[in-house]
Amino acid sequence: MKAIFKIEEHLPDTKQISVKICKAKSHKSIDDYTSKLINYSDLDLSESGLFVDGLLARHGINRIESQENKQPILDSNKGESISGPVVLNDLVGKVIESNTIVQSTSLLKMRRVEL
Amino acid sequence: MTLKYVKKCGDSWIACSAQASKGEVGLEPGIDRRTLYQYVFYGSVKIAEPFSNSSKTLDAKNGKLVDVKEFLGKNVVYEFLEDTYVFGFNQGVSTESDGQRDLDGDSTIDWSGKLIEKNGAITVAKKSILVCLDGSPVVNGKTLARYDYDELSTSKTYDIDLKTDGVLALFTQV
Repeated sequence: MKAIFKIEEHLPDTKQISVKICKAKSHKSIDDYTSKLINYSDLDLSESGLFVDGLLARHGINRIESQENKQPILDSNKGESISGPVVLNDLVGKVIESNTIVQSTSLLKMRRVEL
Repeated sequence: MTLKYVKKCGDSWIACSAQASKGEVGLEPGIDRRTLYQYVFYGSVKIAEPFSNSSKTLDAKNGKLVDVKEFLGKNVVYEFLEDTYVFGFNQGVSTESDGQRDLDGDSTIDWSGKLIEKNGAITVAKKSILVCLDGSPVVNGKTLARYDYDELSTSKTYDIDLKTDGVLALFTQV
């Protein structure tokens, strides 16, 4: 999932930024989401990748999940949980619901340079 | 949430890094514990083998490359004692054509690692990897940035200028 964020304001005295975050594929403009203050003292500002990953991991995922939870579910998308042995024939035509597993490891940006 | 990064550099070695906040904990199963050396950019992390008295605290105070081979292949638990950013140099793993891990083909080759401490020319006699960990050192006229690397040739000479803040690690197959 791609997420986007927009810093609305920087408050250096309190080490805070006011940030809007949402899914990149949101059907609402990011400008229509609420901006929230976050403290950036726990984020690594030495490298853009670490800053972006840290901001979204620590502040983005929960917010996007909250945005998702507020969205209505289409009747045709209402699913059910399953348990026990898998009988594929019994599952044909059913909508099955589960949480997706978030990949926890990203690619380290190593760059080979011919010396 | 700990940010974890991995890059498989051929079959012979893997680079990894982790950035975490103070207090975060985690575990790594022995099958994945292939780290030979770690370098702490900032902060500190304590690692230990569960149910044993062995533990090691890695910290950035000395800016050293730490040999962590004692935990190779063992289950480990770790706790970040401060906000921490750490790099790891790992033995390579083998993958099959479908991308699945081939445990029987995993590299067991040992490496020795050290930081380059002074300017000058170096040569290597065995397969070696030079990794820039910090600063903007210059090697053979090329300015490097963090995570730039090359596999060195045994037939070349490498002129190194660490400049004011360069940190270069050299890993050589034993």
